[in-house]
Amino acid sequence: MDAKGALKHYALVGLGFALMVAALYMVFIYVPTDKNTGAVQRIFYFHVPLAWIGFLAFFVVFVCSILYLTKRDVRWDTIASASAEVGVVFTSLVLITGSVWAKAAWGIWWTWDARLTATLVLWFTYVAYLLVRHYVTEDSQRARLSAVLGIVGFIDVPVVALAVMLWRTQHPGAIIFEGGLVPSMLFTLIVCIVAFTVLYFVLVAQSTRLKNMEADIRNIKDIRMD
Amino acid sequence: MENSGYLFAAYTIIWAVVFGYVFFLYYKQRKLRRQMGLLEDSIGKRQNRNGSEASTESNHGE
Repeated sequence: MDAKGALKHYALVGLGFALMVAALYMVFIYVPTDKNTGAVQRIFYFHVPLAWIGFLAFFVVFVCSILYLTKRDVRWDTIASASAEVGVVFTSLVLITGSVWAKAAWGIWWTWDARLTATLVLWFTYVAYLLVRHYVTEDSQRARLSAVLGIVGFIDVPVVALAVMLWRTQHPGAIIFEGGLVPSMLFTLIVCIVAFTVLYFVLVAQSTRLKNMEADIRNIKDIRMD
Repeated sequence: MENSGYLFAAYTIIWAVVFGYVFFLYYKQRKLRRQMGLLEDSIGKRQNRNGSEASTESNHGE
């Protein structure tokens, strides 16, 4: 990384850190406790941003996969792979935090509700994407196969997003868009979303950098073996 | 606060997983830097050896 790149990286990390501290302050001190569900409702302020950033991550995989298949430029494949990795981490957290919330609110850890099931399918799809990347050793074949999976897998994202409108679900509806949040709750949620978006970009940038470094080492080794 | 145990559990898991992933990236970076360093060393040694062989050959030629 050159000096300018390093400065940008540290600026983004600093911004992410400051936003995350602000988000935590707002979640635990600033925002009022929900009258109906109590303290456990505060899980919502991180659960929703994690889900949205998961969608963003898989959207980036979708776009980069299309770009890879049309341009055959390996840079798009690298970004798609980094984004899928972060997306799987965030979606895992969505499933776990949702489950903890469900236990407190509904008394059960899991139910085969449309949104929960669609999210689990989404998680399995992108875990499969990462497994394809891990087990297929030939570079162009791996990139091509994972790009196809990255495009096809994205079909589930709108299903997850619209599940609460399409089917009668136990999962809470679109309270954000229906104006179900008081301004302080909405503001807190927005700060959390911005904080997680910055975190997403920091992690994807770092993961992409490492994948490029890995490819460089592989290329040097191949040249030496020749 | 009612249900605060669940709240604590959720936030603990979030930060444990996020830090776990950051640590995984850090560990990978350290491993790759070490590999890169070893490769650079071996390339440097090979170049030095080739250079000294070339200069020996040219000395013999003279």
